[in-house]
Amino acid sequence: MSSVEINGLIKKHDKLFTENLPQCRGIQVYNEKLLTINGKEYRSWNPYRSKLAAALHKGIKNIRIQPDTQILYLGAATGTTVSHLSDIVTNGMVYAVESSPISMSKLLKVSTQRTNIAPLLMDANHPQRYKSFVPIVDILYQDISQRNQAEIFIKNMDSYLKKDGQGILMMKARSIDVALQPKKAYEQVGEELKKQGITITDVVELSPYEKDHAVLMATW
Amino acid sequence: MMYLITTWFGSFLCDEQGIQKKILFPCEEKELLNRIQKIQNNEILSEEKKLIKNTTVTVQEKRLQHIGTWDSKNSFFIQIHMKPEDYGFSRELLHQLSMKLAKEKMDTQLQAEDLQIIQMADALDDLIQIANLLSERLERWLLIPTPEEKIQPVHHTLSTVKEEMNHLEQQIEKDMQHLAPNITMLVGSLIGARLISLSGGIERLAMFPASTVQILGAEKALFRFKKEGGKPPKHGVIFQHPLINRAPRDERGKIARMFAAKISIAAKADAFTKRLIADELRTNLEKRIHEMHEQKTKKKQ
Repeated sequence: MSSVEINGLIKKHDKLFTENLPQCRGIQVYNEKLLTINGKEYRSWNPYRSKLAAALHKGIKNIRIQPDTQILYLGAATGTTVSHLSDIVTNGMVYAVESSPISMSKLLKVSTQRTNIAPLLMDANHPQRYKSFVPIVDILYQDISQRNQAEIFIKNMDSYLKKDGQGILMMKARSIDVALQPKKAYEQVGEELKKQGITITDVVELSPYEKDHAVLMATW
Repeated sequence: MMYLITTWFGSFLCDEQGIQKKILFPCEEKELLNRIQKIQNNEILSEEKKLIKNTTVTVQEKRLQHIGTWDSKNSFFIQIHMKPEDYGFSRELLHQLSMKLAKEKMDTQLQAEDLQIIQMADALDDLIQIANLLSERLERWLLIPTPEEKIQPVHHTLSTVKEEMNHLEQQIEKDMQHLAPNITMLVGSLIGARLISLSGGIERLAMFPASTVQILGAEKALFRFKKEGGKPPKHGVIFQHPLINRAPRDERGKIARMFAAKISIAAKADAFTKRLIADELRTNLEKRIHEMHEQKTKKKQ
């Protein structure tokens, strides 16, 4: 694991923890362990549950998340990863897009106390539909298991990611094409992004935490 | 060149130098929700009309294409950034607004009738499994001499399960008649309900190509074929229809394909136009099957 230099993120016994928001003290989002050190409460960040934690364990470098970072999060699901990002960006905002109403009900519960989350029940295939909510962001994070995940990523980068901002794409090989070797599937996504003038800075596989998944870091 | 940008707290008219003119919305939850609602409905706000008066503007949203030049990829739009705090709007307010909107939207989406159908179809399949399990157990148990009162609990549960299955089937029939009359008339309520369950909703079923409808429920076989080769599946749950499972083996694939095409059309009618076309589809289907038989006999001769 690379050294941890993100605000509010600590490493203890080889496990990652984020500092819980003061208004959320004692609240667990997904039955994670809570730890108190020097009067501050920390929530353990499980790499088997959150792909971003897995990516950090696998040593992706240079994720630039500061307390005032604005994040557009596509595929928020029930808010596991979103809650940890919300711990980190105390002065920023996480715009959490999710299209399933059933996942949304859990996400809303998580967001109730976390005023730096803006939950949006919308389809990431149509980035224009949340235009009035989401400003230009510093980080675009996408975790959507769809065949056209690269296309969705490009569309959203076009509309929302600032120049020299960071794009983080969680690729699921099995969604892109089940018949393809995972490595080939990642390459295929990479090619598609490059065609649009996007620079890929890093690709790391997420095994053993997730099977046939990889994280892709991009910028432009 | 002038650009029009609308955020949740106001409309802005900008050029390369920055913001030239702006109209902020009233900083009140109700007023803001009102405007967001309009934007979601693809309407143009009165503030936007007022702002652009006689100027030609470039816009990023397709919603605004009638009052400006639509250019969603223009790089200007990812350079300019309006901070709500600069205009007296807090992040907490945005949080509140989005929570409220998501909640409203979620409630309407979760009220959809097809969600009930999906649960009922899945529950019925669960009950069938339980009934099979229990009757298997009973059969085995009865092979050895057993006093009546010992097997009573299993017996009793089995009959309750069977009774509930009947109730559920009737309920599905009733709801399907109402929600998807064309599909019900064409394939029957149970298979229809399973198709809706497998596709995730009547609208999604309507948007699937017929070839997908044909193999819904045969995912395991399909992915085995895609990964390892071999033969692709010819039919999914539509196999449960007598038209296919009573047909001779060499005709099943062909009939499944024609049948799926008609079901797909029926689903589109049920989801969107609400016209009753099942009779017509049924006749067409029978005609096609008849044609197929004719060709088959011709070939033999």
